Amino acid sequence: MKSVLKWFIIIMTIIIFLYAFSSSYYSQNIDHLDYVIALGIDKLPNSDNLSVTFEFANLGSFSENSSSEQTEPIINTIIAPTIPNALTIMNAYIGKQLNLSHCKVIAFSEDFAKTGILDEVSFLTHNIQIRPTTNVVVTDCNAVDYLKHSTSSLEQVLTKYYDIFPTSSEYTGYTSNIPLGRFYENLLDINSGAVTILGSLVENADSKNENPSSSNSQNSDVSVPSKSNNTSKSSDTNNNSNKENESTKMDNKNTITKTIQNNKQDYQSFDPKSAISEGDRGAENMGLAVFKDDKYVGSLSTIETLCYSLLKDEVDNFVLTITSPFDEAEKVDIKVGDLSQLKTDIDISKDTPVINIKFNLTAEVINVLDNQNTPYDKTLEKLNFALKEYLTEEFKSYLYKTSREYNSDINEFYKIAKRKFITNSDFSNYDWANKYETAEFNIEFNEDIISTLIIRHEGDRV
Amino acid sequence: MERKLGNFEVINSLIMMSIADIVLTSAGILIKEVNSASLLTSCLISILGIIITFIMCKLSKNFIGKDILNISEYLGGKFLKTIVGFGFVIYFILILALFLRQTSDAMQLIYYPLTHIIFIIALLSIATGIIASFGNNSIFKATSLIVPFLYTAIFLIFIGNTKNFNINNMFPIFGNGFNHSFIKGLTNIFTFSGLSYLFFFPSKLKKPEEITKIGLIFSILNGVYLIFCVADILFLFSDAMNHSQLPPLYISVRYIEFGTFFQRMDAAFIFLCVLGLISALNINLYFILEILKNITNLSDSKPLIFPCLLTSFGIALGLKQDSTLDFLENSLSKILFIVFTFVVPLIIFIGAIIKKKFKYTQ
Repeated sequence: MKSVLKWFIIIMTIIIFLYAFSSSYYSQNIDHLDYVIALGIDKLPNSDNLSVTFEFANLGSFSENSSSEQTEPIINTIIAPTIPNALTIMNAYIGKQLNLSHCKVIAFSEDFAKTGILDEVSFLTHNIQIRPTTNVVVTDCNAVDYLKHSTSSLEQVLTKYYDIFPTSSEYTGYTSNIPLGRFYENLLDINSGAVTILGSLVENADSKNENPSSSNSQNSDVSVPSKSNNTSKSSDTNNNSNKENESTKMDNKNTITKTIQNNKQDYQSFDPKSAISEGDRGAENMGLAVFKDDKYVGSLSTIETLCYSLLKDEVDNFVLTITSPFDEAEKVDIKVGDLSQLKTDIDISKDTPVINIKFNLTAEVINVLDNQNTPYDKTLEKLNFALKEYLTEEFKSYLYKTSREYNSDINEFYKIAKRKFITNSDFSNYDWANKYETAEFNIEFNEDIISTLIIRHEGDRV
Repeated sequence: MERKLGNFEVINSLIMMSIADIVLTSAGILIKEVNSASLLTSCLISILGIIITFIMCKLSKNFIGKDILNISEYLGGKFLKTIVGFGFVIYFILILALFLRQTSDAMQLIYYPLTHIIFIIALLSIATGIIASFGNNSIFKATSLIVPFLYTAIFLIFIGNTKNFNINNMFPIFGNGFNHSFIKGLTNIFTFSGLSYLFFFPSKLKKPEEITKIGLIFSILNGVYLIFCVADILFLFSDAMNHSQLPPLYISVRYIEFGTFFQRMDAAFIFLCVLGLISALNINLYFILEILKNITNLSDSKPLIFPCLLTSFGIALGLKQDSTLDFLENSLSKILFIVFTFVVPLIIFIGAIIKKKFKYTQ
């Protein structure tokens, strides 16, 4: 009898636990989940609502029967007052549970970022499914357009592209790997500025857009009306949201058909708002978006982003093109690599912080130079001087832009300044957040940056 | 007759108790309290912990092979032994309940969002009860197997996060001020929570005369673990992530990516932590049962497993509000740790030594 009772209790306990844990198992079962690979967040004009776009992995592309051709991602949009609300509506709409653990990119539109995004970033950072290494992008177009144009036939799996593109910062310096966790920390810190990757549409993006929205039946813009505002006025809300929907579409169209300048500027100093790429992918990720507090305040060009990356010690090697010191019509390509750690010292003895930065760079000239008259060492000296002058000018321009124009310490110089203080209250009294605006910068380079070059003399030509 | 424990098993068990506490709460609490000075404070805490352990072990050497209950019986008879025993039982049950609650909360948040917390706590309690019924052999052997992995994991986490570190987060060096960092900050010595169990081991050791050696190795390893944990969190995100419901060390693991192939280290870390936390729950329960057995003169402690687990289950379930949990973690457990790890043992040791010397002179 005792044995029967014992087994009865054991079996009952197992049944109770199976029942209790089945709901979690069921909801997190791989078959019952839809994996979001990117999120796009826009603010609707003249409304408090957000337009939250979900880009899903097309699981059909992973199956054995799938063709080798690229499959378009599935993009759905929800209009809701907050992101959690949008997630709930989306869960109801798709009938499966959203899973954000494979979300690689979170894109905010520039217009929305200008209004402050701390609440949204805070929610996303504390969401258990979203990883702190997810990249943050601010787009100069609508976030939904950016996501639609991020596809490319070069990449069969879009998640892989989202995974890999920030790593190009290591060998170009034209973008940076900005994980959500670090972005959130910087937003919270009053002394620090924050940056995100800057996403733009490339030339002919408008024609590319026709493909994902019209030709692919899987892609759909679904705008679900927000019922949280006033449920008793559901019909009005529906009408309003339909209008909002239409206005969003119009707005999208305007953004998509934006004019892209044909007379492109020098690629190193191009304005990030004017795309310089043209190709199969409709979106590019070059430059950075700068934040002060939690608001977007401006952008950085590619060369400014390179300066940022160099100061952050995030770039392994990069190529610069400078005007030849021998002939202004000629360009010299210089590959800078083997970068040693830079030294930064901050003088806080005066009311204005003085930031002294010393770089230790090594470079080589990629081109074969035509030079008949100047001896080798003189050529080297002139090139070194030209490179230093160019870099000093670019660095100073970048640093004064971050301090004077943006008042945003995106390179976290304040952390170096903190070394000079004994306690946090001493540092707070110094009021770095306001003094950074008046900071002075001194840039220094090692004596000989360029170590090798090849000179072609007249006699070498056949 | 229970099997006597080797030095390796004892050291691992002591470290397990500290690791469970550091991973779940104390590393985060330390950084929240002393901010940028936390690395310096944890170094000082480690030195202090080693010194205190050494002194306590030296004092206990006067009573080789006797645990704190035997010594208190020697000092004040059965009455004192019962009071001290019950005091420790209450303290350990509270720790057991806290561990149960914190582990269940983390598991619910990460893996079982739709399962009611009551079932997760119950599952952990039942698992602890089943293991406890097998006796000390399974508990200490399993702990010895898990701890080396958990210990290695912290070094791997530290190395994996190196590229994300900002060493400047440790400045200003004195954080919120000298007093705040070093006087108030030293109360965080409760990161050496394994020390509370050290005084119950002498009667269970194969070589009780090596208690000083065990204590020193434990305190050094505990100190190193604490420093690496604090450094990892501090260099990675200072206190920005400390407001999260998740343990900061777990969040730091989520930052680790070894290329595109090894990206989800947190799953392996959680697996190790759950195994480790179940071991910690078992060690705790084992000592509760041993103390109760000792003070009630029961021949078998198995009938006590169910009531003890039910008590801690009830307390864990009652810790619904974050403010209550915060009070227990930040205030009460700190005070109880200092009382039951330093004050009570020190008074008993000194009293017993005086009594012993007095007897000899008579």
